[in-house]
Amino acid sequence: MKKATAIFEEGHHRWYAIARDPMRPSFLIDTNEYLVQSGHDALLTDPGGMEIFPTVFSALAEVVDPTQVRQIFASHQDPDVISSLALWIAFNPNIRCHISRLWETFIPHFGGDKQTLIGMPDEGKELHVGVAQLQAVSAHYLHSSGNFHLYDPTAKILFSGDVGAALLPEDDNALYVKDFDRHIAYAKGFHVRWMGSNQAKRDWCERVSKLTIEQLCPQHGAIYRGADVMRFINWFDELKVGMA
Amino acid sequence: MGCHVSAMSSVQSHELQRFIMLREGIKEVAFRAFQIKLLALNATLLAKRFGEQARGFVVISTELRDFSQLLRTQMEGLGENSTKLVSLASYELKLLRQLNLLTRAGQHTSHDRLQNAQGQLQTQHQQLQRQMGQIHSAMQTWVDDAYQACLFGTVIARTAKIEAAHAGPLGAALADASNQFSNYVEQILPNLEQLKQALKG
Ligand SMILES: [Fe+2]
Ligand SMILES: [Fe+2]
Repeated sequence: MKKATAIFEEGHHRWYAIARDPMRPSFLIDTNEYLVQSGHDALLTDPGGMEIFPTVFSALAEVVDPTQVRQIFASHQDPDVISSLALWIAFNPNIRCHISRLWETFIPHFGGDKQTLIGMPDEGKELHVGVAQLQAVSAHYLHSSGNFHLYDPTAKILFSGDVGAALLPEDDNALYVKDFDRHIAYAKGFHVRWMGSNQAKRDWCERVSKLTIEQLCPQHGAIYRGADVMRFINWFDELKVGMA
Repeated sequence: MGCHVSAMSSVQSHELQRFIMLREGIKEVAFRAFQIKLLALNATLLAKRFGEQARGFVVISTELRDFSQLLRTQMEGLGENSTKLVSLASYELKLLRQLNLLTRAGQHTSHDRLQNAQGQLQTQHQQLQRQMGQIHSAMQTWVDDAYQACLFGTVIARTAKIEAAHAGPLGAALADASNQFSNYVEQILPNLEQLKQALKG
């Protein structure tokens, strides 16, 4: 089963990582979901695929009242990111889902309608969770053509979607990266293949390196923290991507 | 409950396959009815050339044309209904999948809203089943009517044979046509029989 772990806490402002499911069937890629809570309001990033809804929902319900989840942030359109949307809507028909405007009419194939989906403009936008102000940071072509990350300046956390993802061995269930050099070997192939544009990557590294980030939280694999964040950005900047 | 729902959805996926097969059967009957219609048109033109001697044949081939048109209309109605059934059955599969996942979420966490969501999906499922039941029984009536029409069709085809025999020495072409009629109508009957069985499920 998945488990929600607090990765940031300051007063009523919290981030939880719902990470790593050792019970998950091996044919499903493992995903991390993050919950941002401020007071009685919560937002869930990349809620995951339909098949893992029961385990995400249960882990989340351990730490917050699930009715507080009023917003979903979908970094992009992939099934491992957002195919559970229909179930979240069944649970709460008033839930809203932020996603690139490019995907607004595609996502209703998973669930939702005009009311549910809030298309974000290419330049990104500010999102509010309780009193917390978050920023949707554009990351187009990394890997999706309409792609966003989510930055929380108070928590100094960047949710980076598939950027920073690592396909780790089954027995490697640590929440945080322990040994960067060892870890990055599991991230390399993924980035070379899945990230489509060196130009977009350069631009992202430039912008993101100006933000204060203490934790870089990808949708797959372990979280980078402290010096490993800049280590990752520099590594990514050097990497040639978009190759099969 | 989770297992129950997933066992149900495997039943539904068989149902979906059955409805898809049903649609293929309907298409086959409609195709044969179309062949009868073409044959009847040709036979009418042919018989008109024979003049007074083949008047009876003209009347009968016109009846066969009407019969084939009726059968085609019935198959169109059945076809529309079976398309509806296929789409409702696929929607039902999706609904049951969602219900299964919500139920599994509810096994670890009990939450009022989760139960409400399950309840709503269950209600939707019941409505869907009712709707499918109505379409199903309407289809049974259509097939029964088509079967009756076809039995009548075999009688007309037989009469056509007799009329062809009365068309005199020039009636060989009409005899050919009337034999074809019998063959086509006889081919439709087992098709309709299969449809009847398939609808009994
Ligand atoms: Fe992706
Ligand atoms: Fe992903």
